[in-house]
Amino acid sequence: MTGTANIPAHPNRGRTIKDIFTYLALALAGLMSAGPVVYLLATSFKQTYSRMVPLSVLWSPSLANYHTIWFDHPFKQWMINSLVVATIATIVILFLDSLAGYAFARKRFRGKDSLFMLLLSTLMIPLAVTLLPTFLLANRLNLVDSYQALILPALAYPVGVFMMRQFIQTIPSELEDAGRIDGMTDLGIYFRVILPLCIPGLAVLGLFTFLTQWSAFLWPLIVATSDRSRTIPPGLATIPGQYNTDWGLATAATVSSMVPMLIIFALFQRYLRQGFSGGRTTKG
Amino acid sequence: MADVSIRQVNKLFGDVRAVNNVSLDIHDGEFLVLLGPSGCGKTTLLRMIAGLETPTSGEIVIGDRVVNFVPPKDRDIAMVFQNYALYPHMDVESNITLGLRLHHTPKTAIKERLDAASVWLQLASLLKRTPRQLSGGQQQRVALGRSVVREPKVFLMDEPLSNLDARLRVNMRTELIKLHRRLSATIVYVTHDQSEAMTMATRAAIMRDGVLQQCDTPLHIYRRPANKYVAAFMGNPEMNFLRASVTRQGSELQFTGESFQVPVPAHRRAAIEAAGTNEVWLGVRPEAIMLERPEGQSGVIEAQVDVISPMGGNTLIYTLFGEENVVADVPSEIEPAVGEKVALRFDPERLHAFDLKTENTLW
Repeated sequence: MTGTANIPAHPNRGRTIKDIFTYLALALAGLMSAGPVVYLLATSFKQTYSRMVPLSVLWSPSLANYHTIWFDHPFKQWMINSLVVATIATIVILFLDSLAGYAFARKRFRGKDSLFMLLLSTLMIPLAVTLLPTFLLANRLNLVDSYQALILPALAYPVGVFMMRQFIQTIPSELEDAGRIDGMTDLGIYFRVILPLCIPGLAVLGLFTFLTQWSAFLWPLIVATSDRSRTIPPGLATIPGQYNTDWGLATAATVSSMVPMLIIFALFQRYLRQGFSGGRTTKG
Repeated sequence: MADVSIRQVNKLFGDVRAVNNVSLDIHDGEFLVLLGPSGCGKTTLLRMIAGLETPTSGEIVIGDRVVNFVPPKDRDIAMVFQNYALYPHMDVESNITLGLRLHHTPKTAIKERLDAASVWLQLASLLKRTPRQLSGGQQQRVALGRSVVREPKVFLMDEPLSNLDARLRVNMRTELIKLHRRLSATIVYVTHDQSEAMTMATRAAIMRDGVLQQCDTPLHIYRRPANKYVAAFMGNPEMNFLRASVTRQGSELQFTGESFQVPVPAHRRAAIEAAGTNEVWLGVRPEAIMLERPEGQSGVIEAQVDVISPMGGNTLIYTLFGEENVVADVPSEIEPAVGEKVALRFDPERLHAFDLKTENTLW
């Protein structure tokens, strides 16, 4: 008989316990972030005026809210307005900001640095300060309740210029020299060399812009005074009534408004990953 | 093909004078190497020939046309960059032919030139790949192909081999020599590697701090450097320099240092006397030093062997005497031991002397 030997504790036991706690914490965090979405979905699939919806409705969903929102409600017009405003603003911003970023990254001109600082310093002005003057300006120009009023102020977006400048600085300048020797003009270099190499950066900027415009609330609430130009966020704000709120309708509208963003994420995932990782291109 | 003339060209970046009053005639069909350490202005000079920089003053002439304000695309030049500068989003074929397409070259001509270049540079199987799918050597060949199909008057090359590994670099040197012979092209080639200048150049121009030091055939520069800087830059290992005074012993002139004495060769006496200076840098190339046994002979320097580096066919022997270090390049049959005493004899035919102050050669 050798008796009981001293068996050492399993070397991995400490790690396993640590892992369990880690995954528990992660699961809890996951539940906390997924919970509201599940709740949102559940409410949207049940025609009800009550906020308290049992989760079991997910097993017998009703599309009544979606039907109402899409066919008997101005929601469709809000959706169109949001799409038009966000798309146009995004395209114009991508074009303007990449051009400005190219100039700030590569061109030599007097006052370049001060101009850039000035541009960035506009970020420090709070929206509340410019809200009233911008509205008065829009009113003077007869633009209130129009797409222009929603799009034009959005184009002044220094973050985009800054992002594109940083991105373009990572592109080796020899490529431009090569382009110049191959016979390209400045614009030729911009379109044939800079822009194609900026696609990851443009994807990130495009997504940010689209997202910002899609979820913009305060300015559209003030300037879009009717359903003619009203976008989704201020539109959603009109659904709750004074005495009761059709939560089914509100949640169905919210879910519907999330769909375009999800599609965009899915489509541009590849470029976004590159863009977020700093936009490195191979040298040469 | 064409001559390139650089006439009293200056280039200032703010207060920094990158190129200082350089005048240089590059002949038609010549392989001219601009040589110097980084920051000496050689790349700026090349970029001015290319039209990527404008001279602050002076003229650049290609053929018989002053091109100071002619944009690069109208100068009939092609350039190969250190990082190759291939367009990463285009395939090899587009990279090579883009310049031709932008110059509205007929399609049949583009195809002919592309085919010829891809056969010569072995690119045929790579035409549909993008640059990031190629090795460094392949990218280099594409960059060469892009410049060759343009059939330019002048090829400009900015350290095109410096990103390649050592073996490939030596191979590509041979390819470039062949390219030069085959196209009888005018090539201006920038490098900091004196061995590239030595092996490829018909003439080399050595620059320092924006100033042209000497322009001549590489061997002539090697044998008759204009000043101490050029002497040190050309040659590997570099020339040995010993500080010395010229002293008279009886009827003989001697180079006398703190711990050595070397007789002034008879045929150099006139030059030394004409120079009117007594303080000099004595220069001797490693291969102009012979190793002997120290047996009390005259005209030699007794030294101690410090480090031995065998190179195969020859051996570099680093020796010490007094405060001085001298490296000798000797046949590998000579095998002294570390610490052994040896006698160094300088070949009087291959001695150099430079003024201590101006550092210019005395002969």
